[in-house]
Amino acid sequence: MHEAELIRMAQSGDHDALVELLRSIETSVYRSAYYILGNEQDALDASQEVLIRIYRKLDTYQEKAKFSTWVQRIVSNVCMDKFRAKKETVSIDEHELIIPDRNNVEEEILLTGLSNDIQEAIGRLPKQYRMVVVLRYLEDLSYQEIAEALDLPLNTVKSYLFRARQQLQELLYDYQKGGIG
Amino acid sequence: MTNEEIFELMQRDLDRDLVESEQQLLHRLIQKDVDLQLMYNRLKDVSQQLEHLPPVVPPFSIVDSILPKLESAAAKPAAVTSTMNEEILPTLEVKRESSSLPESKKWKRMKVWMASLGSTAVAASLLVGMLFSGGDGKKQEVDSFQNGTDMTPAVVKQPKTPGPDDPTPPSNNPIPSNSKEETDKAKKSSGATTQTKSKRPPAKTEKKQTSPPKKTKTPPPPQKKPVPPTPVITDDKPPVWPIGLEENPDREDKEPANDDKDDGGDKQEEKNKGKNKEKKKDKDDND
Repeated sequence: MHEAELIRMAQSGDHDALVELLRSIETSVYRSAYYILGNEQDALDASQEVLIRIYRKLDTYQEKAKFSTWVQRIVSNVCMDKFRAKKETVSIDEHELIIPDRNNVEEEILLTGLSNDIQEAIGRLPKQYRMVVVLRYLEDLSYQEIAEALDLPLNTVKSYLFRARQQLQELLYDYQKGGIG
Repeated sequence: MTNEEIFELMQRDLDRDLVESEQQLLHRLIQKDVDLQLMYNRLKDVSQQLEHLPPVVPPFSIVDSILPKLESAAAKPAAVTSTMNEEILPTLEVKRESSSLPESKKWKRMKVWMASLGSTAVAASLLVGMLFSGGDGKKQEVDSFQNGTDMTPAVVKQPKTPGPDDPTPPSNNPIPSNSKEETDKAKKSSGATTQTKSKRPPAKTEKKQTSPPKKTKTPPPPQKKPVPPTPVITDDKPPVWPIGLEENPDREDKEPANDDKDDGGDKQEEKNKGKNKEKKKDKDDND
């Protein structure tokens, strides 16, 4: 069934259509959340939250924007909430874990492959850059759609994306140098 | 063309955002400069890695996991949801307490004010009453003494040692005013007789004796000669004077040790009480 038709049916109260619509977006919601938050558990929590919000707020969706853009906007909002919540509950013990000693760093470089390198590099980006990269490469959204999803000016989106790629390039180059040495 | 402009062209090329002319320009620039070529290749590599990020899928169906929860929430009556909202309320309790605190303080202050107002009103009414009926009261009192209906014990404390009068015991607010001394003198003449007879019980008779000084001067006791005031040693310890107040020898001579049982003493007590009240008031105001 076509997405637009599913949305209309779900908005008119068809429960099955609503469930089917949620199933159709489930993987993309989880994928974005996973790459933005960087771990499975947080991604699952965030995905649940996103799907519940869509279930409850679908009647507020208007066809002015693409449905995927609207969904990704909710994903980014939920992920930002998660970041804030994490920041508030950071303990001293967690800080101690963040500071790696030299042996751990070397071990990490030896064990991780190239795909892990890029994932780790994404995790090191600032949150806004990470979101722009995820929406651009994983959700295949255009500059304009990213701007709508994140409620940012178009030029800011471009700037974030360019800087994110530049930083990723530098991080990956450092990893390769460390791996060789 | 600046490096920044070339850098932007590279980025836009990765996003397939360049028109053909811009693409050709970029390729010409890259071919000329090895550093630019290296940078472009690195960025392209990053972009390709991002495009080939491993597809992640949830380990279980998230929709299936939340469906029972969603359906039960949809089926819940409004009352249940309202009670759920109420559960959040306890976090507001702290605020409620803090907001009620000043109220209780205000109420306390109000109580103190009301009490002080009430006591001042009672005192004022007593004073007014004494002004109007003071003369009669005094007459009655004198009569009662003359008729021997006084209920006070007959034992009179005699001074142990002859000599100068002991200083009056320290009070909270001794006022060596002239008017008071005059009244004391007047009372000495009338009160000396009663003092020799007996010690009066303090509470009831004190109030009756408080009368305007003019009237007390007019009826001097004719039957007995004025006797020098009999000092009563109430305490073995020497009296302690309040700090900042000098001993007044004149006052000592004129006021007997037991003059606090006299009219003057009563008046002084009243004055002291009044002053204490005023002090209390001031304290309250400051609070």
